[in-house]
Order: sequence, then structure tokens, then C-alpha cells
Amino acid sequence: MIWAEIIVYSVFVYLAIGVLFALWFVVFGITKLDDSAKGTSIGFRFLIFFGAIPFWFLLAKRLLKGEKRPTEQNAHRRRAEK
Amino acid sequence: MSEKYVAISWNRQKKIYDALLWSGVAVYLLLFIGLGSFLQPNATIETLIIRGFGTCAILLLHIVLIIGPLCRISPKFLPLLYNRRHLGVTTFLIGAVHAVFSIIQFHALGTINPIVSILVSNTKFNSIADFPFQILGLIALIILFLMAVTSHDFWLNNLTAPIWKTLHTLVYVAYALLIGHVALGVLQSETSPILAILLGIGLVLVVGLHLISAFKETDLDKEIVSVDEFVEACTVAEIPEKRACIRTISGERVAIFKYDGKISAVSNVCQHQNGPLGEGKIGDDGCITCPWHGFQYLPETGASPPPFTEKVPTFNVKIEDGKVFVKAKPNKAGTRVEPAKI
Ligand code: HEM
Ligand code: FES
Repeated sequence: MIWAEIIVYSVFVYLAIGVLFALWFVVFGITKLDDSAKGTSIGFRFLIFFGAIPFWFLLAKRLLKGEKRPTEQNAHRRRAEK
Repeated sequence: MSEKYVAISWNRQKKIYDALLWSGVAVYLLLFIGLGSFLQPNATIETLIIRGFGTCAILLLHIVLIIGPLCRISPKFLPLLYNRRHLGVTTFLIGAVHAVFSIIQFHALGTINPIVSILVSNTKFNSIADFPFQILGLIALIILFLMAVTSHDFWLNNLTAPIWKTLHTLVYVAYALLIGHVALGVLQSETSPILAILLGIGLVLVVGLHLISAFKETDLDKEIVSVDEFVEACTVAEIPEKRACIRTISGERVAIFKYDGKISAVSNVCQHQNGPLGEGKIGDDGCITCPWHGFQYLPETGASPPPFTEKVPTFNVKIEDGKVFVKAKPNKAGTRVEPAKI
């Protein structure tokens, strides 16, 4: 019983931080990460809000490292760069 | 495309898709709950809601899972793929209603936290007949939730492709957990064997279609290797006008297009979500349109028309004796290549 409580309440704490982060992120942080998010609607930001709650840690990490959105690699793109 | 994000880029096709989806869901739920209250007068409305939404969600999940292989088997099914993400989000929402009602019904009356209650109220992990099947449902619901909230393109771009892909491959884990959830759950309630039989048929369908489509694709993935700079790919005659022929060169598929007496080759992999460009057509605007979500590229440059900025690698091509030769080494994404004249 005690293990289940520890797991569930830790997840709640993680998600509670996520809600606070997500509120800040969809209003301010999002445009620092992705230029295509500049000037986007409330509807778009509302959708992103829910994903920013569980993934706040990753987003915060990318923001702190100053990373921008990458282009996905594949065999052709890698060989073309050589 | 990726100029500026919008919440949902609605068009006629998506509206029809969603209208059909939601009316289908509504009809199913009304029929299930309506007929259920006739056929099982002892069942409470809560029980009917739990069962109606649960079975609806698992049905939707089957559709989500078979769309991918169906499209690989025949392009006729592509319209189903077009808005699959709304199908996925709907599956999560319907599954969530089932879960919330189950939690209220079975876990909300005690003094302990309802989620803790799901985890501890039954711990007979070594029993098949009394297995804590609800924990399986809970984990599956968490996976469906994570997928639903990251289904916007923003997440594909910013979560980075490896994480996003891993996350969306977890749908198979969720499916396995739900098979367990339903099979073990049915064992514990006295519902008829119909559900178990349908579930078995569904499982055979999902696994079978995946095997068939994987088998069909192995031919395409046979890599053409050659000691020459240019490799012989296909004949001009076998490419249909305004369409492509797909061959694997340099570790990935290449789409070789024929249009207006010209041949151009680009990497087959759409920058959006890796859709197969070679299964798309060249339209009147002269652009290759990706069959999955409609991103466009010019065949000569591999670049999207402005203001869009997507680019895929291009390949030098030449024609000799009616045969198309493709240079094995790709050019950097967006490099203009003179098309070969037929
Ligand atoms: C926290 C998550 C979940 C909980 C607590 C939960 C709970 C339950 C319970 C108590 C039953 C037995 C109902 C009955 O026979 O009266 C059940 C059955 C079922 N569940 Fe779930 N579930 C969860 C998630 C899911 C999800 C995500 C799906 C599908 C996507 C799902 C699909 C089903 C199906 C198809 C049945 C069989 C319905 C029937 O008995 O006729 N469940 N679940
Ligand atoms: S994969 Fe989405 S448009 Fe090509």
C-alpha cells in the first residue's frame, strides 16, 4: 500500500509542477523554442497546454540548453551531408 | 505546413471525417446503452455506460491499428489515414469516460485515493481468474493520454523524432495491455463470450494485416547496389505519368517521378512525418503532394513552394535506352537538379 501511495503522489507532484510550467510555457516559453509558434492562436496554445503538463521536464531541458527544433535525420540526409 | 501553427487546419475532408466519426460513435453508444437496457434490465445505467464506452474505445483502437497496414496494402484506404490523429484522440477520450465511470463506481467510495485504490484493492497477480485487470487498463490509458496530447505537429517537431516515435510505437503496448484488460476482465464478470470471441477476431485481423503489409514491403526495400556512380533503377515505361516508381538506393527509398516528358528523383521520405512521397501524385501546380497529409514539394528541387520551408534530398538522374539511372549519392535537401528529358 505504501509503495502505491509513494508512486501515485510523486506523479501528482510531477504533474502539479507541470501545470504551472505549462501555463507559463504556452504564454511565453513556446516562442523561444519554436519560431512557428509566434503569433499563434489561443486555440493552438490550449491544445499544447495538455502536452506540456506531462512533458514539462523535456521542454524545460530544451529551453535551458537553448535548443531549437531539429530536422529529422535519415540515410539520405546523412549521406547528402558527407 | 510549417509556416505558422494552427490548432487544427480544418478542410472539407477533415470535417467530413470527423462528422462521420462522431456520429458513428454516438450511434454506437446509443444502440449499446439503449439495447442493453432492454436485454439486460438488471444492469444499472452506470454499468451500461462503462461497458458501452469501454467496448467503443477498444473498437476504435482496432480501427486505428489496422489503418496503417491497410494503406500499405492498397492506396484506396488512404482517406482513412488522412485524419487518423483525430481517431486516436477520440479513442483516448472515449476510453477516459469508461475509466472515470469505472473509478467512480468501484474506487471512489473508500477513504483511500481512487488511483491508489486501483493499484492496491486487488493484488492477486498470480491468479488468472482474479487478476487485477484494471491496472492494465490504467497503464494503457496513460499511454493513450500521452499519445493524444502529443498528436499535434508541434510535438513531432519539438519532442524530437526519436522520442515522439517511441511514444507512438507504445500504442502496441497499450493494445496488448488492453487485450489483457478485456480478456481478464470478462473472465471476472458474467458477460457472454461474444466479447471474447470478437476480441479474438480483432487480434487476428490486426496481427494478420501487419504481417501481410510487412511481407508486401520487403520487395521494395531490397537495396539496389552498384559499383558505378549511377545505378540502374527502372525503365521510363514502367513509371505512370505524374506518378513515381519507388526503389531503395543508399539505404532509403527514392521516388522517381515522370511528368511532362521529364524524370526527377527525390528522397521518398516526407519531412513532415516520413510519409511516402512516391505514393503521391504530381498535381496541376507541378508539385508532388504527400499522400499522408498533403505537404508539397517541387520535383526539380525537393523543396516546398514558398512560404513553406520543408526540403528533401534530390538525386541526379539520366536516361539511357529507355532506362532510368539514379546517382547513388543524394544531393543536399532542396538542391535543384536538372530533370532528365525523355
Ligand atoms: C483507469 C483505467 C481503467 C479502469 C479503471 C477500467 C475498469 C474496467 C472495469 C471495472 C471493467 C469491467 C466492467 C464490467 O464488466 O462491468 C472494464 C471492462 C472493460 N474495459 Fe476498462 N478500465 C480502464 C481502462 C480501459 C481502457 C483505456 C479501455 C479501452 C480503450 C478499456 C476497455 C474495456 C473493455 C472493452 C471492457 C469490457 C467491457 C465489458 O465488460 O463488457 N478499459 N474496465
Ligand atoms: S507525412 Fe504528413 S504530409 Fe507527408
